[in-house]
Amino acid sequence: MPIINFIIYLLTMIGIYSLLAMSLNFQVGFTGLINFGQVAFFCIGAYTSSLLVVNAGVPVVVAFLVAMALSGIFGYIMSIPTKSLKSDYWAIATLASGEIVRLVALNEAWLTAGPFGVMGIPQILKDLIPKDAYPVFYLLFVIACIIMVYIFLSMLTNSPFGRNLKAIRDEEELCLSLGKDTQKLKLQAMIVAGTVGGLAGSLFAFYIQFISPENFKPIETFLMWAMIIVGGRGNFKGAIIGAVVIQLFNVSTRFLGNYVPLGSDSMAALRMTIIGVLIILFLLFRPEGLIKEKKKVYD
Amino acid sequence: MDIAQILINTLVRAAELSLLAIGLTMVFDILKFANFAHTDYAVLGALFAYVFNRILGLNLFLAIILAAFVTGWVGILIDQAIFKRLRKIGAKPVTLMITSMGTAIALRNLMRLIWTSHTKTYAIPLQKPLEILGARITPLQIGIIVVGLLSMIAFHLLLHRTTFGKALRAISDNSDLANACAIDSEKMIKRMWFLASAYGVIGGSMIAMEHLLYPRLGFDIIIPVFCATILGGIGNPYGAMLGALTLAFAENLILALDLAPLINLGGLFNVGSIQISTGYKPAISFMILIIVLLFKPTGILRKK
Amino acid sequence: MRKYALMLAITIMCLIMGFGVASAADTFKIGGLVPITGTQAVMAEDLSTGLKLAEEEVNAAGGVLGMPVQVIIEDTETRPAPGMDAARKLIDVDKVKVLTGGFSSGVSLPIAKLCQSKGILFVVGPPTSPLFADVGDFVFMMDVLDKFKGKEIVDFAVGDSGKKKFGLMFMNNAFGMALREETINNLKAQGAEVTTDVVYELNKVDYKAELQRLFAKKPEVIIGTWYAKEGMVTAKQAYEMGFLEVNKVPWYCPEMVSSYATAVKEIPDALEGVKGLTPLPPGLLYTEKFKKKMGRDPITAYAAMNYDAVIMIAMAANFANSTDPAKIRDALWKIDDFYRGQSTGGDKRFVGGGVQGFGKYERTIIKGGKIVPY
Repeated sequence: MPIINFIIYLLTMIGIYSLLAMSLNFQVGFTGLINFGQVAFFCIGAYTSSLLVVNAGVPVVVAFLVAMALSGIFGYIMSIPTKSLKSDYWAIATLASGEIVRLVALNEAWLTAGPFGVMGIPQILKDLIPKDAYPVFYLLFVIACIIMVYIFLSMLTNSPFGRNLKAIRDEEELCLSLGKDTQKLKLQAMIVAGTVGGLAGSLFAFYIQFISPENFKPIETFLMWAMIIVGGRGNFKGAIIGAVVIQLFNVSTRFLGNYVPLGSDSMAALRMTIIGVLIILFLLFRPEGLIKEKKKVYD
Repeated sequence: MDIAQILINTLVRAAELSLLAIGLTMVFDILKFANFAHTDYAVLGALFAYVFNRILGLNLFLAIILAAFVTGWVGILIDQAIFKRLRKIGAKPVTLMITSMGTAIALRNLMRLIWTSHTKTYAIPLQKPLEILGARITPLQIGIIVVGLLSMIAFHLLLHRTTFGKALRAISDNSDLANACAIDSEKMIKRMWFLASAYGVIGGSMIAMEHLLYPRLGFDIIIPVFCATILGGIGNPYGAMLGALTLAFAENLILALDLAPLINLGGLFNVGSIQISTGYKPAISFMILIIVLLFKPTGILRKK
Repeated sequence: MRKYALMLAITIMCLIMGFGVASAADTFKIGGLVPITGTQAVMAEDLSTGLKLAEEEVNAAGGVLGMPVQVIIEDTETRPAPGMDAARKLIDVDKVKVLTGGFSSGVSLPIAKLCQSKGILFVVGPPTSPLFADVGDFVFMMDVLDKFKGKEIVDFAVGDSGKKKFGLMFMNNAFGMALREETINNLKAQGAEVTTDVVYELNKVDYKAELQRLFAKKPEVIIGTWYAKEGMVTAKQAYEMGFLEVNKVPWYCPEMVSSYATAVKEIPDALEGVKGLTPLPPGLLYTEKFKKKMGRDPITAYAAMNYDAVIMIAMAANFANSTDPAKIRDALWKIDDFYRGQSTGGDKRFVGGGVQGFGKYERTIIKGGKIVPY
């Protein structure tokens, strides 16, 4: 059943984007950090893990961990200017830093093979899994990662740490006056988000088995934003639902193309127009997204 | 290094960028949010000018003025339909910024839907360059610099010699107080959108005239425009001009710089020549942007 | 609210499934990958037309094994992830056994690997990366490898100009960088010197600083390649800065049609005297057909690769008397003797790794607003 293969593929990609959306949601929805350079984590994670395995022969598990750590460190670096910058200024700076990461991957050909991309990324546990079952195995692997991240992030956000983050988002001034070190909290949040983004990048690289700088253009960040705006911020179910909706919408036009009297270029333009309009409509009329954040009342 | 040529290239680019940066800085100043759709308004206008010029056969100069007028209204309409609603429900500036990102995506692709992705050119013949001090400049480029300068002077007069300009400055300084003084903020905001969009169209059309025009152009120029705006100090139109000039100069100079003399230390070493790879050219405006934000987020010129 | 979300997701899913299964059975389907959106969108119409022209022609000649051929075009968005979506959809949902097209090597390479692992035939159209040769026996290439193009342009430029100091300008993507490497190697082998080596980012509107850098060290000859948009901007700006004076510093371009299709129409005076390589005359046959269908000149020579690919696939399927990809693959090796291609290089003949082994080009010059034989 080839169509099942397509669905499995689709679900795997949705899973990988869910992780990215969850990471972004953790920054935007919980901490109020407006990151327009989210794709940088994705890029760093993908490049680090695949280069370690392909060029240095490091075991995959170690490569994944290093990739997550490096993305986390990049998150830390990105968080430093939040100390002095207003959130909108910081947002613009993140957009720029996302592009700089891609340009480094593109231009430092001695390390990344530049525009040619990294070839020959191996499949994880290839020898142990029968070839026909591999797509299902990888989907399960991605789902397992999502569950772990989901539990981890939920625990984190329900802890005092998470409540402090939400306090920053809602009332930073108040938070500061209560003597909380908001800078430190933001910094920790960015490290966590970066780590999750790095995991998503690694999963992506080892699934597609080829990465190039073209994977990491700013449009990826905008799609992740569309996911969390549609799905709803401040909870992780929203991020997953958003990833499902946006990814399905994206592929659905491939199938509707034969039934709508429009050329392919127009069809694609229409698709992106609708995503843009969707973002506007949600922010105007349903700012909380499809899944509303459950606000707990603390005494 | 050919300093004269670098200076000419800088002036042309600065004239184009600063007209775009002025509009951006005004909106940022009055409504407190970074409008990511700003350069797309400019491209929309440039495309209108293309329609008037190439399809309706209008004189290019008139076509651009007309397009600026039409796009000014589009700016007001989008504000009424989207941003005003958000202002009314008291949305945070950050929400407005994200909404503008959505607007930019929608608008850019709508343009693609209407005009296709193909590149377009105005009806201007190829220009023979003139030689000044060993550097080349075309009549069109001289025109761009002149129009740029005239637009700035017009803007200065508008801001300081008209009641609208005074009201705008009042709102910028303190919107509550301005309201109390019976200044109709919403009316002023409408006029401000008109002005910002129209100025953007002039800048966008100049870029289209000198280079190329296609629907995605807005996205390709947004970072330099943001960079010029922030570099100059948000809310300060003169800063926007200065920022554009600085950025344009850096863009043209950095690729021409040879760092080897610094390292050779007057003959101690000989490393040949060290130049930044041209592949990093797009990173120049990003780097400048980040450095400015890190070390001087208020920009070169502080708001008066 | 969660109900809504679920409903929305299910509706979309149903749409996909519903539309997915509705397709006719007795046609010979070929998947065509085209970068309809994204950075190379300008060329999409041409690339699709190349596929469609071949489809019409094959069907007029009786189709494949009595079945009509249908080329299903999917958008790669010039990004690897949607490119993968497109290929998976073609293979799994439309159940095509043969793919063609592609544009950017970065997008097409993972698809080639996927095809190899699934036993799907992929006749790569425009991409020229030598890496495709290593993927496996189900992957063929229609374009000539960069090394032929690189050698040819260097032979032309060195022999014709008689000069030794070269300035290079190539785009920063897989295609440009591979061609640049071949050009540099060939220049060195000929004892020429590379004074400046500029790589540029696509989709910018201002290349003055790059041009300034290109001419800073006074090169005597320029070799460079562009796509239509960048070719237009660069030519115009080089002309305005007084750099495009071919009497002083001659310009050579390995891809005349792709680089200058727009520019030669809009600003012919600037390009007067620029020399370079163009597909051999058989390509003109394709050009005529294209003009008849679209009412305009093609803006890229790459589309002819797609045209050749579809025709050769159909020929091979007829020759093999089968639609099985492995049989078509074997037949491709045999029918290549009978087909004179329309695209760059002319004679289509596969050598080791399924790549084109024969690079033939015509040396051309721009005169009076036209690309004519030199």
